Amino acid sequence: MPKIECHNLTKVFWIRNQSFEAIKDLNFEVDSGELVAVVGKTGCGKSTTLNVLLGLERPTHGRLAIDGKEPYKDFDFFRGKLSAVFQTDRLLPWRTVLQNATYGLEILHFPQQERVKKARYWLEKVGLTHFENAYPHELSGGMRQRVGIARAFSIDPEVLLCDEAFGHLDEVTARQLRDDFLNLIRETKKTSVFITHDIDEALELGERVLVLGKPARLLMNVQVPPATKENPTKQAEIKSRIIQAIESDGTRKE
Amino acid sequence: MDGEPLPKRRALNIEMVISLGALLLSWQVASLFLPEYVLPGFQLIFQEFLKMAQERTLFWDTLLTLYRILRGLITGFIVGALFGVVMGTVKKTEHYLMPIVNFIMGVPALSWTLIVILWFRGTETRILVLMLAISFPVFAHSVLDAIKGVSKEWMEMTLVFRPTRGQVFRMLILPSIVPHVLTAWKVTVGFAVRVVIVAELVGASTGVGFRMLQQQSLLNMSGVLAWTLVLVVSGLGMQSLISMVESRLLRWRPTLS
Repeated sequence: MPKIECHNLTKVFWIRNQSFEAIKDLNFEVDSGELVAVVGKTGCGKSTTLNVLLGLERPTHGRLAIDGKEPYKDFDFFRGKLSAVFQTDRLLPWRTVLQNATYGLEILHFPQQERVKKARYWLEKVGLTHFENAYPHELSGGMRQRVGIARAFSIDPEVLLCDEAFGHLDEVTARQLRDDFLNLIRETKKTSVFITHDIDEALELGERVLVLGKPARLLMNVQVPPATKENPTKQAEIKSRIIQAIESDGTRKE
Repeated sequence: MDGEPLPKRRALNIEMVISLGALLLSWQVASLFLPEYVLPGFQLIFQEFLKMAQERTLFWDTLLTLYRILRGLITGFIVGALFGVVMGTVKKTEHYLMPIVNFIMGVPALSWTLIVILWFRGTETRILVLMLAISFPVFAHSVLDAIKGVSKEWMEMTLVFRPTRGQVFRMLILPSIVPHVLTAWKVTVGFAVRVVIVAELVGASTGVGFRMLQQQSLLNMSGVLAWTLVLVVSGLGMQSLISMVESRLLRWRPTLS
């Protein structure tokens, strides 16, 4: 059975008496331990899909389930099972680096000693050992995002969801962070969904890439085997196919 | 590479010394040409202080007034924060409670002073109710606004971990609203000093306000000014106390310097 099942998912928002479809009949599955990248144009409903996955938005129609349960309906079932790395770091400014990294563990009632131990382990993994007493405003954007990653991994979630996690960083920092992040994912074998608008990033990270149209629905489902990642020609070919699919979706609508 | 040195923090604010010094000097010079009951010199005000200290009113009445302010503000804060938290966290309560809060806030402080004198017996009850009436709406508004302003992004990040309602309040809402609450305290303290003095002038037989009234009825300008100085210093003292608490609680905040 797949870990994540999304079946005919539709999400409609009402803005000043006008309906707006963010997701329309979206179907996909993610297996346990798989790293899937979701790519699509800005504003195509990727983040709404992530919010439904996190249980923060209720689907209008259809069903999205993780382990057979719906994140919105069975909200408390997912206590300690989900983690997220967001586009902005979302660190709490009054907490130090260590306190931010222990945030999830504190919510899950881990004893003080254990949460400090776990948080320190993950801070070391992301290379922030010497900064645990710093406040977020004292860190660079890349370092702050690293704290966000440590916070997400610290609770040892079953599913890790990322929303444009490196999108606001400069290319060099983003590349470094992406590599480190990928290593952590491979090491921990977490089921992960990585949402991005950057096709190169999607191809670099994902074992499989889901291409979304606007409103969010599945245009393409592309397998990216490791051999493809090392073959620039093959990668360029897939990229142009993805671009074509997204562009033709746009043209069709216009 | 040598950077530009950071400006040193001065122990004494020279600009403040100059401006206050100029004010006091002109006062002293003017006092030489004007009658004592209009503009007494420093020596007279100082003598008045000595007299107040000897009679022990300086200490006890000041303490009593400060106690009244603090007790009133703490009560106002508790009630106001409760209103703010309920309105900010329980759906639709704002529609019911806010009109009441706004109505109470719309009644002028002077009207409240007269109303509490007619409604209640006993100086302490009157002053407490008065302080409550003028301070709690301010705290209610500031707590509500602060709760409404809690970042949606932080809230979503927190909800991913599936916290209890209590955890959301304790770990996210409470720390987020601290800066707003401290600002509300700073604003309200200044206001409370003015209101408590009026209350003591009108309806008390103790406290700084009452002492000022006594001095005024004796046409003793030095006495009125001495007590006024006590008030100014007390007000500034409370403000700096809050600032100290603020810099302790908000040490995580980046400073412009």
